[in-house]
Amino acid sequence: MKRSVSTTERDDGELVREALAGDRRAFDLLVLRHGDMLFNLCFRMLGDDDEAADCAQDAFIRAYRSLAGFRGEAAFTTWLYRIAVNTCKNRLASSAYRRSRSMVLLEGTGADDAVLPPDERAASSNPTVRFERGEREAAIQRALDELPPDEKTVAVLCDIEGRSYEETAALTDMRLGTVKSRLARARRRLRSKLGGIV
Amino acid sequence: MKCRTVQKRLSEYIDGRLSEELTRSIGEHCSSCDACAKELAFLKACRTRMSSLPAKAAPAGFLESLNRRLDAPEPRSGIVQTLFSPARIKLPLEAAGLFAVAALVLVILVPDEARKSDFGTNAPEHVAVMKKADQNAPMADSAYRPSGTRRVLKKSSRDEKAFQTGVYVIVFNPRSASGPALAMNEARRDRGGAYDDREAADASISKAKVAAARQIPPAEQKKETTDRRADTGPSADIRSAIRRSGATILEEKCDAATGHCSSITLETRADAITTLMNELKRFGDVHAEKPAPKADAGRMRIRIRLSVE
Repeated sequence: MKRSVSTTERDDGELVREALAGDRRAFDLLVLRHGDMLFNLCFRMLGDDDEAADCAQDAFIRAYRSLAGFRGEAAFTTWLYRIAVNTCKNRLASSAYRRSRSMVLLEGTGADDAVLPPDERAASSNPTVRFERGEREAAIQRALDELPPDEKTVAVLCDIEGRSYEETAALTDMRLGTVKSRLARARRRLRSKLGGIV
Repeated sequence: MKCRTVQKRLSEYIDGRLSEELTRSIGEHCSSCDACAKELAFLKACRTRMSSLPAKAAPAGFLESLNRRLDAPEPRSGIVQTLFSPARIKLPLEAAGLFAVAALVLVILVPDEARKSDFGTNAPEHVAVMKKADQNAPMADSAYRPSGTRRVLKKSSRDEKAFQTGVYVIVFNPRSASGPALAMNEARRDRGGAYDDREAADASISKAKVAAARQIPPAEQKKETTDRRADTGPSADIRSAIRRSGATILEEKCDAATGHCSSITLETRADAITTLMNELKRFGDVHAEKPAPKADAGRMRIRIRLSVE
């Protein structure tokens, strides 16, 4: 999301207060600040660009309509993430989503569109490297898509988003032990699916 | 440490979530066990690959699209959405309520008997199911009112297919001593005018003969007929005889206009069949059209066809 708006001047709490006071631009700034992060989370959970954009927007809409319920006890990002995780889980559980996924063959995950770190962007100039990386990423995403929703959530939050066990437990309403066991199970499953790729 | 135990803890091991002692034990094990070392290497590589997946940016126009959705009217409440969206039914709640009330009124107002009909009003036959607590009690007038030709009086507890039905034919001889019941029926038919003239002429018995046969004074004939209507029908004598033998009438097939029965299906105890036959022989000659069925649990079912000679 490229927009020449400075989002660093005010912190999230301040923007939330302004949005609650009726300043729609303040909420826009929050979307610009956290939109990519939320979209990436949704994409890794759902494995599809359109679904991810729709789901991330759903999460923002839910956040906007319940801004009054945000008491500032946790960080705004944690609160927003929590909404997004729940939205994704609901989407994964919905029959319409499962039906659509069963009919759509997962294609390349679109590394071309990804925002790459500078060193990888340099490597991406080599077509062979680029192709291999795209293939590998597609395989990882396919393997993720095949995980049960709860295991996928934990794997995405811990291994892709880099969240700690405690943060993951807080975001998903799971107990710490459950997070550990589900992450271990998810990794074992990924190991069997990605044996020859990673 | 066993490999199985080690491999179960490798996930926490690579995240540095184990105690110092356990971490050292697993490290030592993996340095001497190729399988566990390989597993450990893979898990580390997998985690590295996952964490280095490129971050996807939100698509162009994400904010504008979001704002359009925020400005749009809020969708229906969850319960309405759940009720109607999956089936794509756009039915206003008022219409649904009206439909429910109409259905309720229909159920309340339509006569019970009509609802029980299997055939509808235009069908040639009408089936009315009548539940009676005591089948041996005198039949009420409504029970033989000519509303149809077939009446199921009692449902058999047995499997219809498995339970064979024997068929017996009673050929009435109006001139014999056992013919007064039919004669009475014929006389009633005449009075009711339900039969045409040719049919009435065919009946070889007159009202006077009926009265003579039954030894009823002419002045009493009308009164007697009226009295009998309360608890009998045209085929009441045969019904009474059947019940006297201890049998239970399951079904009757009667003329819609007169109530005169042409067929009666009954269930009787196997050891009471002789009593039943003796009762039936009072009305005419009885012969088996289909042999008596094999008794099922000591009971048998019989259909009696009533025929005029």
